[in-house]
Amino acid sequence: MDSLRVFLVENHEDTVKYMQLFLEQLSYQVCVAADMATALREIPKSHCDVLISDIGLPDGDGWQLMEQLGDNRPQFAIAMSGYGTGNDQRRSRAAGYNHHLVKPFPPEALLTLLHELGETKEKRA
Amino acid sequence: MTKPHEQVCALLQKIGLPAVRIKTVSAEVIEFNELFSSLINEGATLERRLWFLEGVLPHIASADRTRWEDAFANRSRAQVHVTFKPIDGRVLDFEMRSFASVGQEKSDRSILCVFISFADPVFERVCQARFSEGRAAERRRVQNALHKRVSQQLLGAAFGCKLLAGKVETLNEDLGKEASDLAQLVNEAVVELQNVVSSAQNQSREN
Repeated sequence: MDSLRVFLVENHEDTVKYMQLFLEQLSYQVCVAADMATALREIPKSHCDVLISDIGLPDGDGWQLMEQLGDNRPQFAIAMSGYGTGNDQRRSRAAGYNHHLVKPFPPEALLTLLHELGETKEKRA
Repeated sequence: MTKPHEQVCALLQKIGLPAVRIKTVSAEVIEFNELFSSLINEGATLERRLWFLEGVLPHIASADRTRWEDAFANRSRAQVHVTFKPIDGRVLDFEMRSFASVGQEKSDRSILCVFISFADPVFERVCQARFSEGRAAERRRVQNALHKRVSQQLLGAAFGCKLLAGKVETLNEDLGKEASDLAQLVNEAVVELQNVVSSAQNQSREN
């Protein structure tokens, strides 16, 4: 199975650093951006399979990011947010995210989702 | 021009507290609000300037009288029990709290007496409203701190620990086991914090 290419959008320096290193250790290919402007510029060039984005970004939010990506949206998307109300989850779904993870979450929660998405990708191929 | 302290009785009226401002030496009334005047048996006291001397002082509880006299003489704070018997014959128990204002000019020096009813829930309601605002503000502060700082850092730490455990395991099996246990401990802390955050969010919604 091909490893998934992940694009991570998160502005918390330590979190993005350790998430990237952890996912790379597990053979995922990871690109990162700390804000929406960079993500909008880099995602179309990255050919990533999965977007993992924080909802609260310094120059916008993860929902706007999905909207502005338009046709350049990756195949799969996972939202991360400190807010996990039903409304937040519905908004993420409506914006096009497949999943909404509420921070903080154990690394295994993210791995489970990535594994599922990897399997879906395989089936589609 | 009206000075700020000259409007204080009117402000206290708005939150349901009877109040009177008196002169420091003579205890003559300078200012009062309608709630205060409703407590005074106006039939028995003719002059407004004597309302405090004739309408309040005789009704201070005997056990508190000396304390009041000392506080009045020294212009210090006091809390005394006052029982009013207004014209309608009711008996109303109040706690009178007095505060002295010390201005530069003689005319600025006065003592403010505020009456808090033992029975009327107005003051209790004002307190409850303030406590409730305070609780909501504190909840927002804690929630914000949990979300913006603690939760974000713990998320980074959880991924860092898992990464470290994976690396150490390849070098030394025993150390790898310990690192893995540490990662598990951080994971458990993450789950605990997640529960705290979600219960705080639910509580905010309920309120």
